[in-house]
Amino acid sequence: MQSYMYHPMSQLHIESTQKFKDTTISVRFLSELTEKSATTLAILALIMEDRNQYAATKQQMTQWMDQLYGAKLDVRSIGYGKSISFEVRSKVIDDRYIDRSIAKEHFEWLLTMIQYPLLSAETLKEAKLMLKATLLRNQDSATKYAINQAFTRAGAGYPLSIDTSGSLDVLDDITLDDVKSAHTMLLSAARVDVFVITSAQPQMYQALFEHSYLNTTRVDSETMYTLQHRDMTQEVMKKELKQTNLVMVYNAQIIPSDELYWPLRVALVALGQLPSSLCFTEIREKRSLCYFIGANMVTFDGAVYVYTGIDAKEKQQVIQLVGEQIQRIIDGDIDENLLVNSKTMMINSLYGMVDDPFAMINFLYQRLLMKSDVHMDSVIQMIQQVSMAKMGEAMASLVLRTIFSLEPMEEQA
Amino acid sequence: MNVTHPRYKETLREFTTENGLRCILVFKPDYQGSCALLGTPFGALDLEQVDQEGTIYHVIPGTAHFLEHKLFENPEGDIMNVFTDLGAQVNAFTSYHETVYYFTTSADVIEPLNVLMDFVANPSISEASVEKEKGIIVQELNMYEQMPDVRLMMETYKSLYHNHPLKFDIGGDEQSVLSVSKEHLDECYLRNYHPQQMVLVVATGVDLDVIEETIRKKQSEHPVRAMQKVVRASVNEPIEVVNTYHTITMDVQSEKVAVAFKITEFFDSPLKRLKAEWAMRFLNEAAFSSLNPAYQQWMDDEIITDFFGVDSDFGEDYGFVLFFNETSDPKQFEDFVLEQWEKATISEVTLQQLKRRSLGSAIRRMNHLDDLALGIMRSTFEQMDYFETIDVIETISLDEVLAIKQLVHVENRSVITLSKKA
Repeated sequence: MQSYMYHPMSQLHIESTQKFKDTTISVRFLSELTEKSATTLAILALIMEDRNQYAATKQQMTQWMDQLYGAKLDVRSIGYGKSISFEVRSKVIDDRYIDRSIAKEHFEWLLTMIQYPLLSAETLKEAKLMLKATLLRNQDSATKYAINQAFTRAGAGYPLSIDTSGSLDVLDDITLDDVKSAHTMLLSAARVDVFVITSAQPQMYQALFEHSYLNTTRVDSETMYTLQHRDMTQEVMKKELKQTNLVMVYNAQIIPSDELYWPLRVALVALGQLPSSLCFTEIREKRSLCYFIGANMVTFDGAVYVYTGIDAKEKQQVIQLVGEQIQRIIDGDIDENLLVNSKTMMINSLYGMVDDPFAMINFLYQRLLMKSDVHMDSVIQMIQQVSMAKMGEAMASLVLRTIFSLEPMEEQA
Repeated sequence: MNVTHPRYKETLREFTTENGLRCILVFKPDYQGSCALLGTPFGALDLEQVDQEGTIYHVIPGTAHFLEHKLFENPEGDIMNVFTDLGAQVNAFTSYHETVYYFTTSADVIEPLNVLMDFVANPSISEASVEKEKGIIVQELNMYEQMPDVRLMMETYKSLYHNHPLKFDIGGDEQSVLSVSKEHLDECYLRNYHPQQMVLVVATGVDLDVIEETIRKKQSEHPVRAMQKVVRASVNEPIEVVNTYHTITMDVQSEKVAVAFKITEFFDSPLKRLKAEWAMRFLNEAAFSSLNPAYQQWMDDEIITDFFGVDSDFGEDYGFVLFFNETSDPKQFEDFVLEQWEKATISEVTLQQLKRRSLGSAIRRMNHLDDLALGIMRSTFEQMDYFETIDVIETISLDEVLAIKQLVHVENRSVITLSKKA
């Protein structure tokens, strides 16, 4: 992907390709993550998707998108440690498959969508109602809710505890002025990265970007941090469920700039991301204790978590088994083949990204935020260099911080 | 021979191996990855099958799904590990209509393709492993059971259908899963996994000559066995729904309602069914989305939320139109659906707008190897050409869309309420 920097923290990245049948654009603004900013941006996202000063009704908005052969618009927020990225993404069919050229019109339309959302008391009220419904709905997804609750407890006092989809606690207090201020901040000050994957001429996008409001001096926002160690906490929440959703959060204090970052990523694949991973093999396949189990990382917060759905009475056994699998990696007590496979699968997954525009964009953006070499080859080399010993060293840094379980009421267990 | 579609610019090659396996290869020259799907049209709806002699075979609910789990076992262990060793990711799914095994890889495609064809053709199911798998499947069913949306859908099917197998969950229930035996799985496998019944689709950037040669060679190694031709037995399903009103309670924050119309007139060809599905989709989109100027008022009046939606599904011997919403006032929502259905209409301008949108979306889906391969597999099971299923969008007339309304008889409905546990 070719990058063009016009001002500090204002960049355009273009991949010219005939490979895809559509043009993909992602505009990402980066700013500080707080409970209030996450909630305000979640409201702004809903308003931006909904209506615009140039398309004042839902019907006009839909008609406008349909004129662009059903252009897709999706606005969302993603957490990156201390920061939150507000992303406006869109896809439109490539000019080669229709009878007129719409690439330029599409980019101009997207810039208008971002610049002129319809910010009014009416749209604010509707967005708040929708956000409230979404946040309540999220609580009904047992796995998602359990992970969220585990992060709230493990990350108390840190950005890890903040749900980037918003908070019911502050939702009612958000005013129209708050939303307008957040919008102004995005347009004028927040770091912006625009990604375009297209068969259209890059010069056209460069010219449009150069003459747009995006092309101004902007400020960066901090991302990576680590949690300080503290004593482990354990908490149980009861609900009428058929299954216990168990989440174990570990503080690794390893972030992407650390030497042990890639060894940790490989170790997590070996622990719980493959059918041959230790947790899958020992807990599901050998003992039939669960249907799903996985291990993952909250990259910019240096935290690791293991999650599963189990029978309530098996909880202690599963906690012990997870601990044993981590210890096996620390001790180097795993098949060499698992190490090789973990690295191979990570590398293949990186190669496979080039077939998915958003995966390409996510990879590049994350590397930019890490301030790391953006080339895939250098990442692959780092993965290839991971040894059993380094993997053990990375896993030895895990400190169990929180065990959270969402469990069935006694009579259902 | 490779054929490049002039409009969609996709290059396909089709052939049938000597043992009868139908193969469709898609050449995606710039793609790093490959995706291969091997599927059989044996799904959760196949609970009664009948052979040419008229013998009826009963299938325990959840068997297709159970079989899907067990095919991953081989004498040396789990087949998933073999794929991992080859740098490929393998998985499978069972729907109401089919069971599909697939892998994706951005490394070598040949060896995983050989393994895929081998493991699906050579099951090795032991009694002990069937017993062990029951625990895992029960956990899977429990996971779905606690998802409110899934539960609402399942309860809707149960309220619509007396006898049709849609009333069963794809995975069955705890009782049916516990009653599955190795013998039952073996019998179902033999009846439904003959190469002549199956379809293999590979989407890849690798030379198709190499892929074809690999497939032909591997298939020639598999022992040829006689095929027991079976079809899904017809279901004696009453016109009326089971429950007009039904309420379930869960420990949830958001209460939901579904209003479903049971359709009892069916289509005699897959193409007619597909056209009817598009027509129903266009009508519903025009009448129940933001294309309708009244939509804003419905939201302002809090009759609907952003969760509100409408879906329709037309099968060979079933059909329904389903409206769903989050509300604690099911009666108000039911009245709303009935009133708006009565008014539902579409203009020529809106129809053209929707056709343009749908065409753009269908073309964009071809970017994804897995979506493209699955679309091809499903249209092949339906004896249709994949690209024709997209072309058909442009052939639908306003009269056809307006006429589709006649399929719905509003009195034949089920209203399912998912309410908060007090």
